[in-house]
Amino acid sequence: MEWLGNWLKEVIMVVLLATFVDMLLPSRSMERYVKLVLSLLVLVTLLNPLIRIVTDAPLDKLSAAISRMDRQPGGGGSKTSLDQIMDEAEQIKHRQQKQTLQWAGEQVASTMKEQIKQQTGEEPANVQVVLGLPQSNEDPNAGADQSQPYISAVTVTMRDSQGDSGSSGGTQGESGIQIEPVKPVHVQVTIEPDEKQAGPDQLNSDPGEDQAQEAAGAVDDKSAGEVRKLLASEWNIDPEVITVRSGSGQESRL
Amino acid sequence: MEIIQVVGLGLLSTILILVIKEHKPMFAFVLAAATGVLIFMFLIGKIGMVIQELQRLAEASGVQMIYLKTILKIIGIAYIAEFGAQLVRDAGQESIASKIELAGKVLIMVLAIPIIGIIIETVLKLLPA
Repeated sequence: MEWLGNWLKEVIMVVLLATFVDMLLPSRSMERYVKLVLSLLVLVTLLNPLIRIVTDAPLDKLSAAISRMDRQPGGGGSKTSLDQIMDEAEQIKHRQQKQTLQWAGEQVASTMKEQIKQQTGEEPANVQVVLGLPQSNEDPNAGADQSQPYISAVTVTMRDSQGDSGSSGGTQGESGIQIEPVKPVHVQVTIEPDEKQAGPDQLNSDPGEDQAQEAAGAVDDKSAGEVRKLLASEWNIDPEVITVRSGSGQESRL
Repeated sequence: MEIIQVVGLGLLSTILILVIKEHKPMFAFVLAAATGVLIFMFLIGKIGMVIQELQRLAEASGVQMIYLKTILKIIGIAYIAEFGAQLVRDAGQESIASKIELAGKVLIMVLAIPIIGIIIETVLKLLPA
């Protein structure tokens, strides 16, 4: 008996809506036409149980027909419409994926910032994380569900005052306090052989950056290495993708 | 009290149009069109409220959204066609106004095509072959 109640409810609502719309109409000249369409709608609603028995999914058909009419008023073939829909779905999927990655990157960046602040006592000015998806999913069934996003690039921008106070030997009392946590880190960096090996390759391949790094000063490098090591161990990522730069914009790689 | 604003705007622009019509009929038309658009804009918010309420009711009562969509489209076409036709009629182009109305009527009829299709399909299937 539930379908009867639903059907009655639907009929009543459609008739009420139709009456209301009839009152809303601006002029008499359109009235006949509007009334025709409205009465057809009421008729469809009344016939709905019958239609549902005879044809399968009438409302889907109706909405599909109406939306098709919206898209191309000249009619047009239904052959291209499926391709169009698939294309649109693909585009929307890509856009959503991009947005998701961007958002996740922002979250990771804020977490990293917090970690760096806690571990080193220096608050980085800005942390940028770029996430990427492996491009090897040719199989459509594999989809985006199975491919895990990975961190493809991390850029940490340290505050300008850190580099300045470090290279100038500490002009304020505050910088004297901050040098303290840096020194034990220097020991850690020397213990770590992998990063030291990775460093010279990078420098040799990029002589311009070499000079920039020398100009940046040793203390900056130490804190950069510390940040890098922290992030690499905490997030299990390749240290190569981490870029630490001071606030003035010059990059320093270990 | 909003009706006073609308009527006041209408009266004001009518007087201005009467004054200006002798010298510059062109500006009189522009003024009439601008007044029409202003009143229309003024009403759009109210119509939006009504439509939102209708939508809420329809959602609450479980009416298929496709019905409501069709009905709302009918109202929209009727309003816009009527507005344009009256504007053109004010400028003295009766024939163009009737063409706009014709277009509105045809577009409303086009909305009925899928509905008619479903009804006819059902009737044909009900009839013994």
